[in-house]
Amino acid sequence: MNKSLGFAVALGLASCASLSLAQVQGGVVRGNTEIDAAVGAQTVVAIGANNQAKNRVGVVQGNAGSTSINAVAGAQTTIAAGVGNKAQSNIGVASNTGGNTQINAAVGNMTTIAAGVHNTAKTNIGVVKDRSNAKVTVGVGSVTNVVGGAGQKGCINIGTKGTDGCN
Amino acid sequence: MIDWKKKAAIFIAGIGLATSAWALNEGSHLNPRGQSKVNRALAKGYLQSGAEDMQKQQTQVNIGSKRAGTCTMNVGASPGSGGNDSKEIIVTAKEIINVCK
Repeated sequence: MNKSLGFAVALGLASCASLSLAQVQGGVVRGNTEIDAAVGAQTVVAIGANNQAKNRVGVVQGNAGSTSINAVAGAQTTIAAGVGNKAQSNIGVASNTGGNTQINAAVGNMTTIAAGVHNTAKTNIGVVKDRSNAKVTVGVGSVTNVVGGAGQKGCINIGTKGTDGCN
Repeated sequence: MIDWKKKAAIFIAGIGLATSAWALNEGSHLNPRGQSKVNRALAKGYLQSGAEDMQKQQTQVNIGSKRAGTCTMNVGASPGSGGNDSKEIIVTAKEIINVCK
């Protein structure tokens, strides 16, 4: 009984914290023209130096044709603690697509936190990172983006085309 | 062999982390000082725009140095529309908070 209890606790601790790159990907496809991604609640934690905690749901990079993304996600929590870390959440993001782009994103509450020196906390929902013809529809609950420490960057992009304040 | 006190401590730590993760997913993780800053920014917005306009604009709070350009928030923006209110972009949100401190 005690051994099983200890194992269960250790498993819980391991799922809460990672000492290296922590990344959750739901429907991350490069080059495809259509993505339908649905995920539940996700929590990603990166602790240490120069690590990244990333949540990605429905992300397309580099597609010459038309692109359609339907992304549905539950509560998303992304945390990076330490020096030079990044906490980044991308839900329904298309970059360098070139053709017509349509994004529909429905997300629950989103929390992105980066704590430490030279850290970045970035939240992207329904973002087209180029000047292609695009239609974007976003429905989201509460979005909280927090970054603390010297030399930090905090950035939220929701329903945007061609703009990225973090770059 | 770990004695029962250590196991109890590990168990309590596990519950604490699980509770923290739950609190984060509920969006109630801000400490009193941070929440106070958010509340002040909201109150300022209500004073400047009125409650009805604030509701229409959703709740958007950006706390940080705009001059430094390191704390940015873009909602429903596209270059062709002058940065706001593109007809091709629809955004509905409960509240959007960006804090850089």
